[in-house]
Amino acid sequence: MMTEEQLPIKVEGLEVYQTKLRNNSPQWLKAWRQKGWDKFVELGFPMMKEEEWKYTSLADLAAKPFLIPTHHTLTEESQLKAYMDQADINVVLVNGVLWGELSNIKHLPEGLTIKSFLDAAVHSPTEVNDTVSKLTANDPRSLLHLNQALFLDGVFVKVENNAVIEPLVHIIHVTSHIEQDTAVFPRSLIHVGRGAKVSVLESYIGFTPNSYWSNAVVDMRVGENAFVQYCKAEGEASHTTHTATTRIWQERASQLEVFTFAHKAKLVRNNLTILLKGEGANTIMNGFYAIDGTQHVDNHTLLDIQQPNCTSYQLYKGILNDAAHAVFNGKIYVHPLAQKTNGYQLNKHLVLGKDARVDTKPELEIFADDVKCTHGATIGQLSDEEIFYLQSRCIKKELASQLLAKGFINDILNTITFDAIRLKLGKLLAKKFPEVKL
Amino acid sequence: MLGPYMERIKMLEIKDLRAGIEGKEILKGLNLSVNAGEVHAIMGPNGSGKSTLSKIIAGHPQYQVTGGSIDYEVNFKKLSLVGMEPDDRAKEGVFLAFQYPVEIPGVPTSVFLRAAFNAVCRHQGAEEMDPIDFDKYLRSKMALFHMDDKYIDRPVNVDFSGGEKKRNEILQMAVLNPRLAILDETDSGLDIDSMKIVAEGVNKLKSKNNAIILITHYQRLLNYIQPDFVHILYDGKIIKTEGKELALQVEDKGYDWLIK
Ligand SMILES: Nc1ncnc2c1ncn2[C@@H]1O[C@H](COP(=O)(O)OP(=O)(O)OP(=O)(O)O)[C@@H](O)[C@H]1O
Ligand SMILES: [Mg+2]
Repeated sequence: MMTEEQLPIKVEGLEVYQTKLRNNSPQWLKAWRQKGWDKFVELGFPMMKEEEWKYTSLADLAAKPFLIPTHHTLTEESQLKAYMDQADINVVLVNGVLWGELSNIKHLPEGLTIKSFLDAAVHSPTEVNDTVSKLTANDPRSLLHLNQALFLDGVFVKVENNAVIEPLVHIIHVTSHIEQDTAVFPRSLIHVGRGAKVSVLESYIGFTPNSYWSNAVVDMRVGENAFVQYCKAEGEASHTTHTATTRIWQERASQLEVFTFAHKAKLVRNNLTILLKGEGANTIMNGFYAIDGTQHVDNHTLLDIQQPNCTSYQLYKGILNDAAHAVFNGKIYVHPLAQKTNGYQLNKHLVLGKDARVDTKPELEIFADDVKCTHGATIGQLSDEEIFYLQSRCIKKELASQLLAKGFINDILNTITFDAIRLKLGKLLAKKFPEVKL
Repeated sequence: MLGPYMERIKMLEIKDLRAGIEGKEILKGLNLSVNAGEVHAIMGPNGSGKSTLSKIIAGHPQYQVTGGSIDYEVNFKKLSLVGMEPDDRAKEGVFLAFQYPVEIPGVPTSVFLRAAFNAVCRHQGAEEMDPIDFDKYLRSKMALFHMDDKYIDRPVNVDFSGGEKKRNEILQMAVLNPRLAILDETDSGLDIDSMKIVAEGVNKLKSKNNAIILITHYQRLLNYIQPDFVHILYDGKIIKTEGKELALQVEDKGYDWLIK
């Protein structure tokens, strides 16, 4: 047993909290939490000397003691309303706990179940355990284990086989009314059955002037022939550190469109892993970040292609102002069995700030011979030719620059085919990129 | 018909223009004079400086003017173009149809052209158009050039074929209604039908108040748009100016006999 001083993380009232977690958990969950804790204690926080964390420092987090939220009610209802649309199925979690009154999940369409993670862990232990224990992450040093040990609760979404869910499922993780230096551990589990169809948006937002750390985990299984559109939108309070591990498992001939968006937290690190476990699965894995000041966004992705005839398309774009720093690492791993793989990866940056910095690196590891994979990265400023073209059409330079920046953004947002998601992201961006007056 | 003064207004006067890029001189003492109401054709071998001239008139910041002058007169206002911002020149009625139109990802044609159109309106003190009225106006212009409506919402020139891009340039010209239009090889890469449509657009613009400069390699376009003058640009200079028969001679004999 380690003494408190030896632990890699300091959490105030840890023992009481962990006892409470144990009391709330069925046997398997207790053991699983313990496994997560042991792993985290063994590994500690990732360090910059490690390859996967070369450009992103969590030294700040490792140094300070954290608090755990003590309440799960919301004081900023009216602010939250601005994020919600009546047409959607809204699922609101406050500091990690599902908040029934603000959600509209009482009358769900047929084939859709939404409940708390703990509820599912108690009533469908095999189903939950089967997913969370089988999924793997691209980065063994991700903060997945700490979430597993300390998450209080979360959400479980299940779409039955062949169910077609028309409205958007909007999961909103709110951090509200917490003390300085609080850690929250949002958690989601999404099961999409065979031949089912669903669109899910997860928003991470915060209403607090205090700095906090949000360390999220999302696990998803996409059944055979299912079609899923999934978007993760980071819109935390501005002093936040947001780390997230997303693990997705795709079955045979399933189609997945993932979009990862970041724009507000001080530091974002996303670990996204997609496991193509079935033949002929299809993945579109896009992302966008708009950062300024000293914001830092790091996207690490892994496409793990295990079966033949899979296709993937990946486009990540970033727009950087001031002294913002973006990191992109896109790994594509093609297993020996995965013949006739078709992979495309591109990472594009528009650098507007003179002190902004980009570190981008593709990593292709291909162990099958009949494979078509391309990748590329660009880092550039606004194009002089494009500005001249607009100016030659009477548009003054400043307006031309605004239009081109907007164009850079729209070009990637337009890859989101589900309107409600695209419009919401556009709305989030309106502060940084106001509507251009023509 | 000419006005009571019986004299054409000199719209563009280029004198001894020297210009280049990064110390390399491309235009080497070029003279050109264009009156309102005239159509001029400029021909010349590849690399002789035709596009450079057109971009310098439009104000491309990449080129440095090292000598000479470009004077432009519109509505009794005399302007020296050198040093003016490209958008200020455009607002005064200078229009360039690009040899290689630029793709603008993520910016719909309708947004782009409304920004352009409203900039001119503001400049002329006229009322700006709201999106709905502009949409109608744009559709009417597109119909004129047999352009499919779908281009309205598509990003400017992105995934357009070569010919579609050229047609889009002429559409923009029709929307902005310039006083001095320079068409840099707008005819290259056009099929016969597209060429007729483009020529129609140009002929509609033609009036005693406007001037047109056609840069071309082919006599073919000049069958549809009759030039008043044909110039040969060679090695950064206009080396010959004659009537439209010169284009036929070039078509027939090439440039060698002119260069000697
Ligand atoms: N941006 C540039 N950088 C370097 N050289 C240039 C640039 N633009 C033009 N030049 C050079 O200037 C010369 C004239 O080019 P320009 O494009 O004006 O020719 P052109 O007469 O339009 O030819 P074409 O008939 O092929 O269109 C060429 O030698 C070209 O290489
Ligand atoms: Mg040219």
